[in-house]
Amino acid sequence: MSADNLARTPHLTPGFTDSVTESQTVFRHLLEAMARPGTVQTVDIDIEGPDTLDRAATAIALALVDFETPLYLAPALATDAAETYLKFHCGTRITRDSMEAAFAILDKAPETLSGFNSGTDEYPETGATLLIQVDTVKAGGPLILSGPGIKDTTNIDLPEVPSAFWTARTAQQRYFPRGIDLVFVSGGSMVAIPRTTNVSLTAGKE
Amino acid sequence: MEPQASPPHSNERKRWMSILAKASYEDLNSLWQNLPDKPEWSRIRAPEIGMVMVRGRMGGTGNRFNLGEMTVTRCTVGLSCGLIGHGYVSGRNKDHAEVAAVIDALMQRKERAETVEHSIIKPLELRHLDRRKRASRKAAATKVEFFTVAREN
Repeated sequence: MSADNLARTPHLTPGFTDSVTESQTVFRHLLEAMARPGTVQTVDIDIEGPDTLDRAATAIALALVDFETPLYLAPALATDAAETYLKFHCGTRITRDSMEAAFAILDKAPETLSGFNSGTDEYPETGATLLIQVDTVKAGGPLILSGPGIKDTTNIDLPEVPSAFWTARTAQQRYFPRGIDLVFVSGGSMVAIPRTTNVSLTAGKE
Repeated sequence: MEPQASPPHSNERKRWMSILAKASYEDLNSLWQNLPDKPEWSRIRAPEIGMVMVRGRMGGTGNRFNLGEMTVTRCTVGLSCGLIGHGYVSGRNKDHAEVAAVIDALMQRKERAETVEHSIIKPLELRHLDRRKRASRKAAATKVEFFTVAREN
């Protein structure tokens, strides 16, 4: 019985206290981050989400994920508490099949991007958005970003992301407009790398 | 102490949820105000107003059809003991949804269920039945017979 299950949920915590204002704030931050790749945005909203999820990841999920966007959680993050929280507050379906997901929350950069939906040439907007949790996101570092929204180039530092990931991503970029959008989150901070952004490593740094 | 959740048997729960959903806010609130020893609660999902599609069946047996949309307000609260209550009520009254949610949570607590049943749920049910009886009596009294049209039942 679903009613019985809900009554025995593992301790459900509140979502946004003021859903309209707060989801608009989060949306605005994400829009800024996507429009200016490489800038670090900080979500300054106090939410008590599941333990396994970073605050920014929870906030983005609450603002964007709904019943039309299946969500994939990396096995390390998919605790009962996290699944219950997201199902209850977003009304979403948690999928085990990463190809089907419109959004995915991952605990580390995946080895390849081929496990996720990159859309079709007719409907590139159906490509997945990955929220990748890392320990540090900061501006200024070995990664050089260029492309739309960036004047000349900008640098960021994502120390936990292996260089093989960037190689795989570059290989996938030739299928543009198909592609996958990335948001790296850490605590309340986020930096977005949409599919249009070119990432290269500075020489000498692997 | 571990909260004593009475097994919220889905039919039982359906019954009290239905009564709370249909009760008028004035009735519910006056009974709620009289309830001693109110619990502490926090909002898990703040009251929000939305629409649901009401569906019907002609004569209760025909094919399903969409009757129309109605406004509902829902709210979810958590008691300090960890029990969670949901309130779905008709109309736009946010306090109504919140009180209904707290009562739903209380009804799941074994030691409180009986008191709440007697002081809130039962009286609301009687009032609802009474209103329904009056309405159907009025409808029956004004029933029109068309002699040229055969009635199916």
